[in-house]
Order: sequence, then structure tokens, then C-alpha cells
Amino acid sequence: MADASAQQNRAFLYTQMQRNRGLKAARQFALEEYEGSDNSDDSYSDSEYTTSSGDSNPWEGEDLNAGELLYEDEPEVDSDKEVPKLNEHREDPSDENVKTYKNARPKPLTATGTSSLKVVEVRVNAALSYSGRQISLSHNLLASMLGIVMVDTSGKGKKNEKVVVDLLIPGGVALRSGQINLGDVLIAINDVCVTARNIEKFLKSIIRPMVLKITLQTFSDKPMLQNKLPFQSKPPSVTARECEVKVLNPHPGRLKQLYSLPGPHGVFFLTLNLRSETASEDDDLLYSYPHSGLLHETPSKLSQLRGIFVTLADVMKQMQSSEVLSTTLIINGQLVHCAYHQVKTEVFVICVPDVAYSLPQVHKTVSAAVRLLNIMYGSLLSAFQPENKHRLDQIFQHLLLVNSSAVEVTKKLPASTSYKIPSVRKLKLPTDLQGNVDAALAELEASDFDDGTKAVNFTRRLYTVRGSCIFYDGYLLANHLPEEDLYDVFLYCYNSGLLGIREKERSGLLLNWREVFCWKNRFESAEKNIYKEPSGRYFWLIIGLKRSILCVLLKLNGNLFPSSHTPRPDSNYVNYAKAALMNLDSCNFYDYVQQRLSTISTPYLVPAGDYLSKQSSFFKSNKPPSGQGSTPGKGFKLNFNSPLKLKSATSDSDDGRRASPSRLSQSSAGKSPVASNAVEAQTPKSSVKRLFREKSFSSQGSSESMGSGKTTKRKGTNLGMENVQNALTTVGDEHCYTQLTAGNENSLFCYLDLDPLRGVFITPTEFDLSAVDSESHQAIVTSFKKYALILHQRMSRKNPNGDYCIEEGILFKFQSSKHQQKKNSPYLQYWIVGRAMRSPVEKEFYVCFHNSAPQTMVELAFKSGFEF
Amino acid sequence: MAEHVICITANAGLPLLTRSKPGCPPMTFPFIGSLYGVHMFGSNQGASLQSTVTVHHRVVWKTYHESIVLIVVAPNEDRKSKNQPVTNRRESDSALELQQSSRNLTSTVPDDHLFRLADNIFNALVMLIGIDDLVKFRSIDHLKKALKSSYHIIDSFLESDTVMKKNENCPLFGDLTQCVDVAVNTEAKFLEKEHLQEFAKAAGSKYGCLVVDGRLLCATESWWLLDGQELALLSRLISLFPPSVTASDIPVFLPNVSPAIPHRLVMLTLIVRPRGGVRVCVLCGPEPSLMEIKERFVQSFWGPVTNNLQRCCTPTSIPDATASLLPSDLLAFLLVDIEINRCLSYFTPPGGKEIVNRRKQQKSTSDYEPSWLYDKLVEFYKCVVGTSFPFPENEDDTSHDSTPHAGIAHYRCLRRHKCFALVKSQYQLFALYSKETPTYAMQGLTERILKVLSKDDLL
Repeated sequence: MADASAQQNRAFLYTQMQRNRGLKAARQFALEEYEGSDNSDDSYSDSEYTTSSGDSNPWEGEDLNAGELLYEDEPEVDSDKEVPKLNEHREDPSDENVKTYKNARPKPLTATGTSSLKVVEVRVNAALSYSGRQISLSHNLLASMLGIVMVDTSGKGKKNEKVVVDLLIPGGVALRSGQINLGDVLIAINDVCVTARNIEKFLKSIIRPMVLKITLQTFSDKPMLQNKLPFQSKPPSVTARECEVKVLNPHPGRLKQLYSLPGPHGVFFLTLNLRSETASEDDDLLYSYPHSGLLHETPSKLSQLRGIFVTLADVMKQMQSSEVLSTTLIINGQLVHCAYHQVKTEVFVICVPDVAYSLPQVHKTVSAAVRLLNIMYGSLLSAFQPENKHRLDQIFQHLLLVNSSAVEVTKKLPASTSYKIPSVRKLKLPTDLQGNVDAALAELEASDFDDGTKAVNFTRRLYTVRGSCIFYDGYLLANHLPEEDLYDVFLYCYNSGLLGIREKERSGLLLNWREVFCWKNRFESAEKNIYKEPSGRYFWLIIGLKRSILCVLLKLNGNLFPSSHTPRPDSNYVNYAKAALMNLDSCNFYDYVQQRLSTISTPYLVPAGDYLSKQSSFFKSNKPPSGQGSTPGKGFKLNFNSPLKLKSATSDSDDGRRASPSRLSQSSAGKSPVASNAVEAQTPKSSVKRLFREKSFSSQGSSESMGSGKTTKRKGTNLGMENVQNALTTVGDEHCYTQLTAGNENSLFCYLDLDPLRGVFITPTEFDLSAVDSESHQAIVTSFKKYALILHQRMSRKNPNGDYCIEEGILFKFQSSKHQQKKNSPYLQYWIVGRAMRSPVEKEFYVCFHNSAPQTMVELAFKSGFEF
Repeated sequence: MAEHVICITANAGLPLLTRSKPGCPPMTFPFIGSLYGVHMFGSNQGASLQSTVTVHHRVVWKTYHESIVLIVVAPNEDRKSKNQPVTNRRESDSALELQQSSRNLTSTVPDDHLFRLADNIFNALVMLIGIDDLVKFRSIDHLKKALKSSYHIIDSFLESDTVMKKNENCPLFGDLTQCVDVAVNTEAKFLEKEHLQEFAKAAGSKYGCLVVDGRLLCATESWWLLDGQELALLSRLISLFPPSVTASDIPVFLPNVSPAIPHRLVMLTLIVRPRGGVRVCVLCGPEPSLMEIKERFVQSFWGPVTNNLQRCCTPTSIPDATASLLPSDLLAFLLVDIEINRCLSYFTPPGGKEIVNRRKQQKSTSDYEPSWLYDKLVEFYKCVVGTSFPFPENEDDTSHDSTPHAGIAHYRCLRRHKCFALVKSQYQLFALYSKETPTYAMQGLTERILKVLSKDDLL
């Protein structure tokens, strides 16, 4: 009886602690319940287990291919299964806000006495428990074999002391089963009653690998578990198969339809170190894409020409101690660029036709490919192992397509890939939305601190979350990763076609799990003072739901597993990440983003066609500086525009205020139906408002309306916080109309704001461009993309001794192709200008604007700084 | 511009000529052999190797008349002047970084500039040896011996950027632009009308010209009918004679007009100056002899105008009156007329405007040495032409190509200077400004320069 009360006290203690956890715990707890009990099947040791209750995650059954798990629900098949499940999730956590949680909690507490039994089957290998260093622990077989530690030693002498799970050893059988929780009491093993007294003796008797049926008494308060408790012995693998899961594999058909590059192209990995006497014909070819050997047809021209690549690489290295970077060839009348990357005695070559790739693009692509392979496999040599061949084919197929600028290909690719600047495209969000998504990510990242939320499981986590980022439709929404890591993730997602390459919405779950070798860890920092992270292994967890993709960088501390073994994704993290995505969904975050994507954003663009049509009148009225010997006062114009600059500053600060704490918490926590309703109710209203605003500020910045907006805001600041919010929701939802360019008329065609420090760039969204869409504008934007890349390439030349470029601009004269035949056809002149700033922060800025009013790039960039 | 030039027979791979820029380590025979080998391997496989970029070099290959292969090796634009110390980095990583950083500027500068150089070199060979001897040679040793006469002119291509540092010579842009460098002088018209034409006629030729310090001062109408490459090469050839040479008579083949039949290039120095002075040239047939021309015509045609000729020997290529109209911030410019294949370059003499802003000059003039300006002007030209401006020789192709975007202005702001390039009708103007020039003013200034220069029909 005394024992029983001790048990109860202990259980009470655990429950008490659990109750003190906040909202997050509740949500995750609820989620866990719906997910069912999760089992992290670990192929690490030969100890395996089967659970006797609960259905597993469908991806658990998937094989880990070369350390990577790529899993995707097939939407068609799975829709009826998965979608309702998602809906449940969406509603359920929202029901459970803080209050209901607290009310609900005490109830199980009173019912602590109602303990229940559960049975877990684990497979143990007794031999392992005695081997190696663990021999010293052999007196404690409970720990070494089952991974359970009982701390309470005071009761050693007592008879019939129960075996209580006080600690779970990381990586131990018990922990990995996911079924055994802290506070559970071991009742029986293989139907033999065990106590603290006889447990060691009993375990000693197990000498062969076998499955142990462990019966536990649990003081759980989960109603669900009780339902499931009766011994069901349905193997989880069956349920997994029923889900019709499908591993993402190269869809040769799909991409062939999509398009293949025009002209000769190929990827080769060649070795220079070949013994000529024993080598057969193809021995130097370690890898090639597309395959030549498979069909036994004539190998491709490029593969025949690989002798050139090898020789050049060898000669330059041996005799000039230099490395070859690229080669240009003419094959069958087509210009082909080949870019190299050399690693010791091996050369990696990418060959692409000139129609699809310009020379700078090939250089960028090969750098990206090298980085990607290094991230994925640690080094190029390990990447090009035969077992990776299939995966590499898939990578290169995507990589060659998404990086090309061939007209036929780009038409079929999502618009997000059309900027070839090696950086991540960011979507500029209103501050409150940005706050929400940042909060959601922060919450996810913090989740590795409170791991005991699920039942009572106070063990160390295997992983720590290093950061996360979220993409929507190819745009980066928020990022909590260092910029190098962000670019790693981006490269992978971009080149695997995860970022919006598919047209239809993903209804199922996309899960990608793989070990990564972070790029920044390759470079040991020269300075010793800089903090160095302890070594460890890194993993990516990439979860895709609908149109959003969440990437989490996890770090596995220490050397828990041998390096040859890749652990399977931990279902906890998968669930947290999934929950984070679904939470955002539940507060209509994506609707907001979608709305943001379908509204015009500042700075406004102006259709090029306008200038083309009003050409004659325009030039009479506003003649560009020409042979008059003096430039029409640029400086004066800037002065007139300066109020505008001021205004953008005030609107910026107002934005910050608008994201008031109450609203932020409301939507980030946003669980109550009231809140989400309120959000929904707001949605149409604000969209109408925005539309209205667009109309009223269509193309001319009328100073009157700007002024009125400003005064209202000023009034707002004098009132209380509530009033501010009211005032702002009525008026302040409108951003100030800002015009980036100088002059009376807006003359901005396109812009690109690159932030090398954060590794992101901002451009007009597709909607912005479609709003000003016309044939001529498209032509100009295409040219802008092309030359911005060239300018970027030139800016990034960093030569501390010599010269470097600060600003470069090109003036183009554009004649619409329709009128090209006629002599005096309308034309327009536009600038493409790039500027690199090195202080106060490093930044690059590219704009494309009409030649009507002279611009100073410093001022444009300065204004854009307030914009973004 | 380039470091090495290799000329190899296309079929046998025998090296005909190898020239290296002074100060560059010579290329080893196996290296030359490998460069030739990859090209031949490619052509046997039906692919023609065009160019290769390495961390330190650019290499272009070009085959002429299926019998001669020219290989030009030039430094990579991104190459650092000095090897920077590599600190605490793993070897593979520093190599990786070097690879990354070498890809920047180089990849945006087209190979065509080097192809132009290769064309120039080949045409120089043709000019001195004749196409028949060069392409259908009988004995390799004979050809090699004949090629020795071309070393001088080929070396001048390799040394074009060092020549300035050596003897303060006015640099020529003919090899870069494939246009002839001209000098502008008010005396030019008078000299051409009154004396040059008569002189050429007396020598039995329609082709005659006056050259001042390697720049063409004036020429007969027929002379202008030669194409840009020939004009530039002839001027270069003439300018290469040392100042001590007062008269010469050599056979030249005109690469495009008469590559097989030689003409006589008769050159007479009228006024001796350290940089070459004023020279009159005629392209004529076997008659009259050099002695005859020298004794009969020189004194009678040129004696009376010695003073005018003296006045043409100005240190700058444009008259002072024009130079005074140029903006004070201008450091140098290069004006190219792609229609008549002429180019005009001008470097603001150091300290030329010291009265106006002496203080500024004291700070900055020392930085802007002419050789540095020349390098920057060449770099700017390479960055602009081929990127936003079309190559004149390719223009026929691009006009058919339906590209509605035509670059008409281009500027760059660098650490120590700013540059602006402008296209207007047949003119391309490349101007270098000091760092202090406001960026927004450059377009206006450049247009003003163009207006000043095109006003008097100077070219």
C-alpha cells in the first residue's frame, strides 16, 4: 500500500510538472494524440521493436536511400485520407487555447489512480549489451539492454520494490520504442513479473537476440491511449503500405515532357589519374549525364570530346600550376560552354549550349553544383560514388533545367527561377505578417527545449535545432538561418525542384530528411577569436505542405552514431515542423500571403508600353539631357523629392507600431475560433481596401492624398494604443505611395535589391509584373535579368589591391519588335543600373528605369532601404 | 594585352613562331604541344575549340585557311597582381576560393577581343610574308626564317601596354578597335590637298599618307578605301621604324585587298622626332625607285611646308583649341568612328589644367599616369564592347538577329575613376573621368565632348 502511494506521488509530480508547461505543450500534446503514438524506427542497431498499438507515420516504412529520405504523399490517392486528417489538425489545436487547456488539465490529475497497462514489444540483442565498454555496466543490465535507468537506489534492499522508469538512455531500446515513458512502472517482461530485485537476474537469463514483451503500468491521463490499450497486434507496416506512399524518384517522363535543353549538354566527372596500360576505354569516365553507356548507341559528342577536358585540366595544373575554369567549343555549329571544377585528380565538367546559358551563368551553375554536391555528400568524390548515380541523375536533370535561360525552358519553369542571381528571393511581407511567421519559426526552434511535453519523458534530445526557414511558392518568407546555411538549403530546394516547380498544390505531405555537410564548416575561419561551433552532424528536415516548405537544420551533437549510419528522422521533430506549418495555415496565414502576392507592392512599377506610346509628346516635354552642354538640374529635382523620402520613413515606423503585441499574439497563438474568425472577417475588407488604394494611386503620386494620410497618422500617435490601432486599420493599412525614381513621373520598370549579408534579394512579384504586363515590358524585364547578372558578376569582383566597380549602368534603346520595320517607329530609352554599396552595410541594388529623369543611384538605393 | 602568341601548322603541329611578352616565363614545349593537341583532337572529332579560361590565363585558338593555328594566351582579367598569402586555410579550400573569385569579371568579357588580336597578328604575318608563302609553304625552315621578319610587329602587339611605361610613347588603339589611330590637326587639310596628293601622283601611286608619331594625319582618298585592319597595321608598321630610319622601301601584302601580290611601301621621314616624327608613305608599284623619290620629290614637294609640318608635331593628338573646350575632369577619351574605321585617342597631359584646380591636381595627378589611364581605357573598352555595344564587324549579324535592345550608353564607377561610353550614329566615345566627377553629370559631359569633336568634322 505504501508502495502504491509512493507511485501515485511520483506520478503526481510528473503530471504537475507537465501541467506547468504552456500552450505549446498543449498543442503538441494534442497533435501527438492525433498522430498516434510515434515510433522512431531506427535501423542503427540490430535491436528492433514493434509496437503493438497506434498507427505509425506513413513515411516510417520508407527506406533511407543513401542517407536521404525523400517521401511524398501522392495527392490523388491520398487526398481522401490525408486531407480530413489535416483538417482535424487545423481545428483541433484551435479549440484548445490556453483556457480550455487549463480547465481540462486538473481532471486527469484527480484520476491519477486510474492507471492502465500497456504492452510494448522490443527486440533486444543481449550480446551487444555485454560487449565493448559497456561491460562495466553489466551489473546494470536494465540500463544496457533496455536503456532504462532506475535512480531510486534507496529501496535496493526492499523486497518487491517496483521497477520505475526514471531515466531513458539516449539511443536505448526503450527510448527508441517511443512507448515507454518516464514514470512508467515495469510490471512484467514476457509475462514474468519483475521487481527491482529480480530484474537483473531475469535479464541475465536472456542470452539470445529476442523480442521482449514488456508490460508497463502507466499513469497516463491520455484518454486515447486507454482506448488503444487492449492488445491490438496489427503490424504498422501494413497500415503504412495502405497509404500508398510513393518515394520521390526521377520522373523521366515528366521532365522529358517539360523540356530538355536544346543542343548538346552533359555533366561529366572524369579522373586524370588513370593507368593507361590497364585502362579500358571508358574508365576515365566516373560519371556522366546523360548516360552514354546504357544504350550502347554512339556516345554523345561531348563524351567523345572529354579528352579535351581531361587534357586541358591536366596540362594547366601540371605545367602552369593553374586551374582550368571554362572552355568554349563549337559543335555542329552550336556554341557550347563547358565549365570545370577540379578536385585533385578529378574534374567535374558541366557542358551547356550557349542558347541556354551565357558564360557567366555557366560559371555560376558549376559553382552552385559543386556547392550542392559538397553539402549533400561531403565532397565531390563521395558524391560520385556509384550508389548515388540515380540520385545524381535526378539532381542534374533539375539543375540543368532550372538554371538555364533558354526561352523554351523558362516558359515552362516557374517564374521564381527566372532570376539567376545566386541568392534567395524574398517576399517582402507586411510587418505583422512577418512577425507572425517569425514567431512561428521561433516557436518551432524553441521546441527542442521542452522535450518532455509528450507524456513524461525527460530525456535529452538527440538534436538541437540550429534554425529554420520557410518558403512559399518559391519565395522566402522568413529565415532564422545564418546566410550560408540558408543558401545551402535554398540551393538544395531550388535545384531539386522543390520550390514551386509543380503547378498544382501539394495536398499530401512532403518529407525530406538528409544529412548535410554545411558549407561554412568547410572553411576554418582564419581568426582564432571567432567562436567555433563544436563539431557534430547536421541534418535537414524539409517538410512541405500545400504550397509552403519548411526547412529545419538540425544538429546531432556528439558522436552518438557511427558516421556510416544515418539515423531516421525523429518523429517528434517531424511533428513539430508539421505543426508549425499547420498552425500558420490555421490562422489563415497563407491566405494573407496569397493576398500579398496578388496585390501590387511598393515601389510601384510603370508599364513600359506607356512610354512607348506617348513617346512623341513625352520627349518634347521632358527632353533628356543632350547636347545642350548642361544637364537639366538633377540636384534640384532631388530636393523637391525629399519630402517623399521623409514620408517613407514615417510610414515605416508606423508599420512597426501597427504590429502591436496584442494582434501579434492573437494571430501567432491564434487558436481561438473567435480570433480566426476575426481574421477571416478582416481579409476581404482589407483586400477591398487595397484594391481601392491601387486604383486611387494608379500611376501618379498625387501629393494631396499622401498628405492627408500623413495627418491622420499624426493624429493617431497622440491617442492611446487602441486608438492607434483603430486609426491604422482604417487609414494606415495603406502604405504611403512611394515612388522610387526621381522626377515627376514614376519611371521604374523593374528592380532588384540584393542583400548579400542576409543572402536574400527582393524583386517585384509576378503579380506586380503582370499588372504592367505588355510585350515591351516583358522584353525589357528579360533584358534586365540578363544584364543584372552580368553587372552582378562584375561587382562581385573583390580585389583589395586593384580597382573594383561601385556602379555600372547601361542605357538601352528599345524598339518594339512590331514596329521594327518602320523607320520612325516609337522607341524608348531605359537604363539598367547596378550599384554596390560597401558601407554602412554591404548591399547591391539593380534598377531598370526610363531615361526621362536623371537618377542618382545613391538616392534610389537609400529610398529602397526605407521601402524594404 | 596578351602574353604569348604561338603559331603552329595545322596539319603537322610544327611550331612556326612563339613569342612571349618580356618578363613572362616562356612556355615549355610540352605545354605548347598539349595546347595544339587538344585543338587538333577537337577538330578531328568535329568540334572546334574556341577558348579556355583558367585561373590565371585565357587561351584562344583560331585556325586560318585550314593550315595555320594561332594560339593566343592572355592574362585572366580577374588575376590578382600578386599572390596573396593564404592563411590558415586548407589547401583545397583556398584553391576553391581562388576558383570562385576568378570567375567573376572574366566570364563577362567576351573572347572576341582576343580573337581580334589573333586576327591582327595573322594579318600582320600576311602583310609581311604574303598569303601564299604563309599558307602553302614548301619548306618549313624557309617559312620560319621568313617569319623572323615579323617578330618586331608581333612583339609590339604583346608589349602594347608596356611600351608606354618605357618611353612615354603615345599608345595606339588600332589593335583593340581594328581602326586606324588618327591625329587631328588644322594643317591636315591643307597638307593633303596641296602636297600629299601631288606627291603620290608624282610617285605613280594613288595611295599616300602622312603619319605623325604613328598616327595618321592625312591620307589620299584611295588610302581610306583600305579596310580598318589594313590601315591600322600599316600605321603600326610605319611607327615601328626607329626614329633613326629616314627612308625605307619594303614589300607589303595587303591582307584583304591583295594578299598574294606585294606592293612597295615607301616611307620617308620628313621631320625627325624622338617618337618617330612626321613620315610620308606611299604604296606604289616597281617604279620609281626609292632613290628617285627621295631625291626628286621630297625636297620639291615638302621643302616649302616644313613649318606646317613642324606645327603638326604636337604632343597631343588634337589641336589645343579643341582640347581647351574639353571638360576639366576628363582624363582620357577614345573616339571610334566605326563607319570610316578611324579612332582618336587623347590623354589629358598631366598637370595640364593646374591653373584651374591646382590643389586637386596635386593630389590626384600623380595617380593618373598615362600608362595607368591606358590600361583603364582598354579595360573599359573590353567591358563595354561585346557586352552592351556590338562589335562593328559582327554588326551585320546582330541587325538580322531580332534583338530590339541596342546599348547606347554605358558607364562604370570604379574606385579611382569613372568611365562613360556613348554611341551616337557611327561614333563610339569612351571617356575616362576623375573620381570627383558627379555620376549624373557624365552623360552630359560626354555628349559635350562628342559634340566638340564632331563639330568640325575632325575625323
